[in-house]
Amino acid sequence: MSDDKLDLDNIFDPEKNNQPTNELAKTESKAPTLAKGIDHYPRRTDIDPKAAKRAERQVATMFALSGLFTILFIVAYIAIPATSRISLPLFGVTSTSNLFLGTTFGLAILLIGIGAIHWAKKLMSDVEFVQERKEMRPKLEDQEAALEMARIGGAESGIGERKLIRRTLLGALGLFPLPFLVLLRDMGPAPRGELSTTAWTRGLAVVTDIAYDKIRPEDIPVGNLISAMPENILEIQHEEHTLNERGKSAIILVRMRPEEIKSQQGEGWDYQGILAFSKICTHAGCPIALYEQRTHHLLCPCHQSIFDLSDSAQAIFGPARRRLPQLPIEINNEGFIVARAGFQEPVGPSFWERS
Amino acid sequence: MASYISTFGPGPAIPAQDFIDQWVNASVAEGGEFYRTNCAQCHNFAGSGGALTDGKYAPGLMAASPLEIYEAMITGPQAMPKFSEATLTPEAKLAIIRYIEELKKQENPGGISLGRLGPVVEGLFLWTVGLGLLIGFAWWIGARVR
Repeated sequence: MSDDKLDLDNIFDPEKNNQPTNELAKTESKAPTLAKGIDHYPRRTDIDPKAAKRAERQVATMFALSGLFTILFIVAYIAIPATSRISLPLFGVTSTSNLFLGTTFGLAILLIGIGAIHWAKKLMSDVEFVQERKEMRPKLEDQEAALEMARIGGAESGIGERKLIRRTLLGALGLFPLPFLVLLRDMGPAPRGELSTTAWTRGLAVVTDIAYDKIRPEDIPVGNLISAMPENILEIQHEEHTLNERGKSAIILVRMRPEEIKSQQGEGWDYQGILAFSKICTHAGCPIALYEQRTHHLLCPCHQSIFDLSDSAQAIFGPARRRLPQLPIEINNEGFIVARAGFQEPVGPSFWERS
Repeated sequence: MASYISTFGPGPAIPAQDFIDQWVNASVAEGGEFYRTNCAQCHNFAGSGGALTDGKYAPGLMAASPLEIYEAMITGPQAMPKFSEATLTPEAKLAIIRYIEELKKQENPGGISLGRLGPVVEGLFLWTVGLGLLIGFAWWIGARVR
């Protein structure tokens, strides 16, 4: 075996090893001493017995009141039915039971706290003391003993000589993290086209959200707002069991006088002043429908981005930088509004692979 | 006055009160869906109203009568867009009114409603009033006693 063999019995013998061996061990804890060099001003309660008596009465009153509120809490709990309501100025109509339970319980614990602090501040000793901080470093002998134990453990295991064991162990430990890397595959397939495409295709009818009615242009007066979806949205949701398509395909339909339209994202993409835009903000993806029919501004409630729907839905204020994609629309032979094509650019916020 | 204004051009007529009163029979669940899709973006999920651009604002709905709500939906006052009878049916509008009337009845079992404006206002209240109280107590605990 090795040369540096150790006498185990002696290492853990308290008789031999628990003697203080250095200076640190001796300065371990000091009793607090009176602080020197600080002017101590006595309080009124230190000088005037009347003031002390008054402070004592105040503390006792707070503790007594706390007890009273605890009893009131129990009374309120039993006496006030949960259905009872009370009308308070500023608060409005609220539950009587909640009001009284909360107030009594809160005051009961608050008065104990205030009383204790008042007691400490006015009556307990306020003489300044100094207490040295305890040495943070462990005693030298404890450090040495710990190192020695590690050394002994290493020597006893024979990791130095048994190369086969050492190498296979290192190999096993090196391989062990691999499953965690392999499991990263379970984060699912990387998104492909679905970030750039929506359900909208040529000929798909525009229907109102919630009621899912097809829309005729003559049903939309100037200044009107419609939250709309593609006509097959419910089938897609049923198939996919997710609301992803609803989150991507939502659009708003507005109508303004054709002469108010400053520009749009393609010639003839509107129909007599009816414009369709993605409802999803290009900043963080919030649905936007805060349409002001006089200014044609669309305000995103999340971060106050503003889009001018009369000017290609350009972002004119706020953190959004890209315009809202426009959906080109036309009228089919039954007279309903349909998409003339899908969106020409990805809807919603930016993503890495967005070109 | 209504007949004077109507000389300027046609517009939707004031709905009959008998018809508006039908809101009590509308579905509150459907009304909630229509409300959240068409109204909540400006008027808040609890009908408390909210800010628009340039100092404009959408008013709270708690003081609005069913007739006023219906009129606003078909005429689009100020910045508010119109919601035509064909694209948001009269039945849907009555359901929205029913939903708003239910909102009006909601109590505040937790105490002060803070305008039902949501977590931003609640957070602001705690950061100012709640933290202010805590700072006050901390100051008192640390203050020198005379």
